[in-house]
Amino acid sequence: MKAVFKYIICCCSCLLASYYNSCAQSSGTYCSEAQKLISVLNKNHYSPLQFTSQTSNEIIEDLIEKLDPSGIYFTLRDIEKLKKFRTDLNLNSGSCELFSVVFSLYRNSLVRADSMVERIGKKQFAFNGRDTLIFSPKKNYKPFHSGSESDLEKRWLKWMKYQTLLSIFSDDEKNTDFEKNFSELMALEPEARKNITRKMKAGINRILHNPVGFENHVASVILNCIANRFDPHSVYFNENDMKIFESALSTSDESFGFYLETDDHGALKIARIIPGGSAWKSNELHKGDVLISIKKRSGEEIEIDDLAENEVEDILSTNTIREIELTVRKADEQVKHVTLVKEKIKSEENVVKSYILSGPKKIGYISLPSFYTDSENPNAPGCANDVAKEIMKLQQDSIEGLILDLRYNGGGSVREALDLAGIFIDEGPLFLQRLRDQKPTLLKDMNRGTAYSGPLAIMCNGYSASASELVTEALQDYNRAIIVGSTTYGKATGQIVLPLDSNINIYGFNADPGAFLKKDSSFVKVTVEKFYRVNGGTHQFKGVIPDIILPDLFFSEDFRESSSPWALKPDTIVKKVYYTPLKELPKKQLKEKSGERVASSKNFSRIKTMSDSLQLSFDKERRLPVTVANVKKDEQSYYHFLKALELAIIGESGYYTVKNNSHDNKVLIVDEYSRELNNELLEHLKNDIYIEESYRIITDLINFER
Amino acid sequence: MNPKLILNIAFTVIFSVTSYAQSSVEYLESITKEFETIAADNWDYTRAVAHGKSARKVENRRREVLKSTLEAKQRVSRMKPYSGDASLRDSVVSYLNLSYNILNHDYAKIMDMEEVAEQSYDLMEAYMLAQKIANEKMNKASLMIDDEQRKFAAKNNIKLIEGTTKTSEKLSKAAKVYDYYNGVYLIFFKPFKQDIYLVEAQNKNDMNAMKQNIESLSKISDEGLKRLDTLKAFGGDASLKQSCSEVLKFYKTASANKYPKVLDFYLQKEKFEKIKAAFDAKPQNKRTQQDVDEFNKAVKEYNAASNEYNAVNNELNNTRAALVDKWNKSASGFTDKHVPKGK
Repeated sequence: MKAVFKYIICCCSCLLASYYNSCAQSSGTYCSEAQKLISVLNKNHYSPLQFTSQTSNEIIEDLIEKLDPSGIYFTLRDIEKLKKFRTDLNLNSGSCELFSVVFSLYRNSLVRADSMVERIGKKQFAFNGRDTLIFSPKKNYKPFHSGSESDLEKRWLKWMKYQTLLSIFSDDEKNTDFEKNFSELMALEPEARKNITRKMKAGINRILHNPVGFENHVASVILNCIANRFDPHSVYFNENDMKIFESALSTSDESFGFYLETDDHGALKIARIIPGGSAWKSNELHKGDVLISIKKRSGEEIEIDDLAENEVEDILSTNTIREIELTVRKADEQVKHVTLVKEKIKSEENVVKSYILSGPKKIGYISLPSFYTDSENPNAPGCANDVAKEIMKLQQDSIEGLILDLRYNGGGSVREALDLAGIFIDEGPLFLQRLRDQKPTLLKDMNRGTAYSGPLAIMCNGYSASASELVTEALQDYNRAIIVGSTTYGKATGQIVLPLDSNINIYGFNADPGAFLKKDSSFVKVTVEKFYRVNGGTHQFKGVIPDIILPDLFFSEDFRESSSPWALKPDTIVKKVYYTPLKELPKKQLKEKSGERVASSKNFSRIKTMSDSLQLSFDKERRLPVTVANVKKDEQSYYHFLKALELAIIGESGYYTVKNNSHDNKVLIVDEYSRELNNELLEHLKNDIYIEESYRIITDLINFER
Repeated sequence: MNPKLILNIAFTVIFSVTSYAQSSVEYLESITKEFETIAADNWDYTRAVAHGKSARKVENRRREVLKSTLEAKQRVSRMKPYSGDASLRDSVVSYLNLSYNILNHDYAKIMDMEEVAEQSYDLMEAYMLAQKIANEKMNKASLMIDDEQRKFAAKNNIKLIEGTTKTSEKLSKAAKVYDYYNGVYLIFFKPFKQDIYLVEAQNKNDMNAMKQNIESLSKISDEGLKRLDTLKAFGGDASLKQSCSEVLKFYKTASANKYPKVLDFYLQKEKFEKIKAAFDAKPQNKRTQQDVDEFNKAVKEYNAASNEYNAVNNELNNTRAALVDKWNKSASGFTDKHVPKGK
């Protein structure tokens, strides 16, 4: 009877856990999952991998970094326990131990860290300068690990002291002038320490009590280290990840229009913006923005420190919350407050907007944040069709030139990229696609003719990736557009999602990835193809270099594909491609004129200086003795840096005015919500110095072509 | 739609010979004879196509030409080299081989179809390009035979006299008719196909594709009309040119004035749906008089746009059908009238 009772308990707990996901599996099951993963990857990946002792070592190194990116959980002695897997992950034999060893090691380390934080948080902090924080250079960063538990505890102490001081200083609402004296600050210490302790413990507990189960979560990290070793875009999805992935594709619910994810440091980040949603329309939120706080309309703050992403999303999905103010930190460290209203998102809604910049010339402006398709009907016209519609509206307003803004556009559908480039190119091959060991195939503009044949400028930056790079380079190769901005991300690979069914081989039949999504199994997103320019080169790893480069804070390679050690390397293909470029654009002259303006621009000069100093700080080790004065000085300079940045990127020349196209104006008369958002957007477009310089460049282009 | 596109007529110069050295003459004659059988079958086939015979009959005739070409090739292949010289025999074999493959539409055997596909916009353009390359190859092969015949004759002291037969004369006339017809047909076909793409895009609500196809239709129709202007009537018959010109003028007008109205309707529709959604989302008691007035105005504009859309669509469909039908009739009439009749 006892045995039966035990069995029932086990089943019940499994059922409860399966609310989120399946129960933790045995280490053997995970090993078999790993074997299937490697098998599917090796069968289908563009560049299969021979597993050697070096590969195993690299995967273990990556795993340690992913589980403990700041070196605050593992000691060197803990890491030593993984030594035997460095020469062989040993996934094939019946005695596969990798998963069970990592689970136990990581769990113990987290529990130990939790106790350390608890202990440390109980005593008042002395900021006497005996502790020095060392910030490692970003380039080739590897976390440092303490030799012993006592050293690790000292490390935590330093870290918590620093975080406590930061929380005292960095709340800009309380302390913009940094005028508080030592005793005033010390009065804030107990509360700040308490908050930091709670925050740190919440971060640790979020890992220990991950909604999908601790072991499933850690197994996912291990399996992802294996997948990532093939290339950074090959990713393992467990059943739960897949559900999230699928639900992210659906756009029919009422929501604020964004999804969250937790990064390796426990911070909540924007994982995805839903086209047409409130977040999308705001034009202020982007993937990767770090969530700082959420306020309800009443001003009441929603406590998010201890919550996982799905818990925050659950709270936001309750009917009582209709309007929120999000505070986020952008990739460039700016802090933004964005108001969002919950609404039903319709996939068929036109989510691209166009504007008219009126100055010496009447220029159309369209921003496209991703290459989306209709998730419910992938064959229906997608974003390219929406852009074409906006162009038609702008043409009714007789524009003389067009700016297409692909900054921060992380890519999406390749078919949409073809259709978008096709808007501007009559006919011909746009780029080449190559599957492993196969002859390259030309991808052509499938619509003869152009929807817009006037002067065109494309804006891009280091966050323009994949499909946006394909469009940018195709238009560059055809001399169709002047490309303005900074070097793009450098991803010229394509992925498909396959189930971990080792019999599947995309080279054996015409794979329809959509058909696989219904299967009940884990999945892997596999890099199966590379893309090349019509001249045989590729932007893989290197990015597309604009015709006119503008100073940018994040021009550094540290943020690009090339920063990943396992990124596929660039190569070239030799193939005769028949295409007819248009006549050369006056790039040299445009570059000279822009160069003169940029050199005399206070905004760009500031950005250039700040960019140089930022790069220097990335490249150099920095030491900070943890005293009130030091951290205050450090925070003060950081605060001023951000303020200066805010000033630097906002232009006020008033060189042009911004308005909606006549078509949208009629809609705005009756749509109050859109009208409010629209006013903010118009202001933003007016003050963006990159848009302004692009406007001046396209004006020059029109004048040259006359 | 008339399925006739381009007819490949295997056509070589027929020589007759007066001879001094008997065996070499026999050798040459046995080769030339092979062409006479093929020419006769070719003529039957050409007549069937030109005079509106049933598809089954046309296909039977084509198979006969294929059969006679294959048999001729086999017979010539079995011939021994003359005095150790196989160049004439081999040039004839390769010509017949080429002729067979072209008539059989087996282009992959004579050119790199992948490259043809890559150079072309769509399958139809690839087919046209393949036909063009095939014709060039046929002409080249024909010249080669001619050259080999002359060399053979010179080497073996044979005097060649250029001559014609009734069949070759008819084939020659038919070739001229089809040259002209094919030229006009291509001018017609390109915008015709472009218009089909446009209608397909309209059915998919793909405004991007519609917009591009409209621009392209206008450009191609213009180019076609300019080329028609430089084309003379065929032996005083301007009917084919005229009906082609009418279709192209329709495409030009449609792309300039009619299709843009269709596009505009889609924009109007989208605008109306947005206005309606915003209006419906507002509770009735919060709607202002201005909201109601704006909405009513939008309804009125949308209804007017719908009516115009329907009228334009009907007009496009009816005019297109009538003009294409007229073109088909004049195309059939043209070949029937100008390609000689009888055996």
